[in-house]
Amino acid sequence: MMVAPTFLQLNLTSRTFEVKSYQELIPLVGGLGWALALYEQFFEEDPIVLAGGPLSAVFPGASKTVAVFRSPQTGFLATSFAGGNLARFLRAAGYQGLVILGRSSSSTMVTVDEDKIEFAEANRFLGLNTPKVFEAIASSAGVPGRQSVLATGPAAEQGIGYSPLYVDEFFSFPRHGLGRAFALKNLKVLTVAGEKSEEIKDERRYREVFESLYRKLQGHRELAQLGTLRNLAVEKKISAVPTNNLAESSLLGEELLAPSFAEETAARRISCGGCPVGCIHLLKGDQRFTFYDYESVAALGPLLGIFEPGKVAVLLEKAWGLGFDPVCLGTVLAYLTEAEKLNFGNEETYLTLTDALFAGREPWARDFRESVPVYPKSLGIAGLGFLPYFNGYASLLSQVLLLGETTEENRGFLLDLDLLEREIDPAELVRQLVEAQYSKTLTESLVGCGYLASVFEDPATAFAALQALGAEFSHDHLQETARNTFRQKLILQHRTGFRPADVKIPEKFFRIPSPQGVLEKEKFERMVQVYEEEYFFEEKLQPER
Amino acid sequence: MPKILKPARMEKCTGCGLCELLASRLTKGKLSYSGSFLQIRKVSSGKPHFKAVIDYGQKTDYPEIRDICPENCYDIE
Repeated sequence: MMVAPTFLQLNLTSRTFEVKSYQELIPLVGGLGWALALYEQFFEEDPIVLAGGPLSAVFPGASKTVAVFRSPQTGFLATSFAGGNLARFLRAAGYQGLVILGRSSSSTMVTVDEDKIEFAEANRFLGLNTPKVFEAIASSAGVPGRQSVLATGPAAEQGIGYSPLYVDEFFSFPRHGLGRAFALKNLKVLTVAGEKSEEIKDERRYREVFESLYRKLQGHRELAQLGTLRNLAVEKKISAVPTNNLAESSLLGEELLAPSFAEETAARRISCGGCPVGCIHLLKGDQRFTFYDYESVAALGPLLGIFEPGKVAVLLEKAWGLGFDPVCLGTVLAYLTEAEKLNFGNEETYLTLTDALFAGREPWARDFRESVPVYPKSLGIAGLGFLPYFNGYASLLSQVLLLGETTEENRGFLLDLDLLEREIDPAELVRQLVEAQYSKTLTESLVGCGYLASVFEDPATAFAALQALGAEFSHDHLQETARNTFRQKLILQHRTGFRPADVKIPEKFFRIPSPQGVLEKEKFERMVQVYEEEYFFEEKLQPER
Repeated sequence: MPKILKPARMEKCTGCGLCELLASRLTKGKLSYSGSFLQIRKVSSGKPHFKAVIDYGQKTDYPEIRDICPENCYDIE
């Protein structure tokens, strides 16, 4: 029998904590299921819930932590996934997750070392650029590499909505501004450490599943060697790389493709805790190592008319240093370039604009602080940046419906590849996209890595791994729970005010040829309508009796 | 001379920690990244480099640990 998940509840207002085990969460499997349930339970207190899953850190590739919170960028329910070592240290501290409530009266650092929890002032970290924050923590608290460190960048303090929460220096919770959500609670730094161990329920079964997963992950060598930037070669081939604020979708040259980008920037790789793949790639800039992936390179590269690795690297360093989400920043800069009739491709201009955005002195800069604009020439979607895949209906629809705001979460761009040169029926596309969400939700409940979806979306793998840990869930239960968890996400999206039909869809999507041809606005709107009527309609979101 | 687990190519280490997890399972029969003879630590903040801290006061020459490293960082000598 699975042990009841234990969550550490931190109250920043009273600077107190409580440890609670939740028997009722057991059937929800883990991760996203647990986090949504606790988010709902504490809804009125504007919680931030972080959760690992039952497989976290004890099976290879189950390395992510899910965050559920209200996005400062959109105002709606947000989910975001981060790698690093947070899942591992949460488990080693004796917790399946954290519930963060309240708001501190001043900037605060919380240190969690198993059952020893401390609240301290964090003023000394304010105003430092992001890597300096991590340096300062490393020199003052804990042993480097023996704890997980979460910290906000300076943009979060400055009121920038699109500021991620950084994890263990080189990882982050992307999109939706979790860094800003921390800053709104005056929570600057959170560290988690622990050395607890667990008994193995079924040693033989555990070893079998572990070895099977390890072998499957060894098949992801291309992801390891190239990172998600490998996707750029595919996107280039099908002419789906948004360039110059989506004035076109073809990428010239090969300098930004993963092998040449890595060579040019002296890249090296690191892993999330417990993952043998090691797909996180870091470029070596003038001053430091900075992480990069497909979406950050595409957003601060071609979307801005920049095609040289060195220039993209400078912008990536800038974004990380100040604490901007690179995809959202790229979307804002691309819009400004077109709207203000500036020249695309000038990284000096973009560095200046980024500094001005950060400072927020001019009125225009203040307009762009909370979210990405939805003005006519902007590619912003519901206040978020544009995930730079212009593959076709499904990838864009995933973003509009808030079902896929990151490469890891967007199942639409693969569906678009399947639909190339085929007649697209709006209802059928929506059905397929929603079906893909069910299997994705299983991964998100196990909190297996979304980049290794082919491994963790297999119910047989999930079943065997859970069984080895003593969690006896049937196949049917796993499938049904995934569907219910997905619906729970929609219920909470609805409760936070999200309505798909209200999302303004950038007009450019219907002017520039995609691999599926020029997209038809009416057809796209029909998809949104079908989704609302079939899946998001209020009465359909009532809990099943 | 008894053989030991030697971190011969730590410049390739990506910090996944699977060697620590396996060391704990093999020596303590438990799931943990600590409490065994082997710990992976970051060399310093800001750099993606790692070091292995090994307690050679006990048996360390487990071929399973050498073999689980995806970057082939270990030898047994």
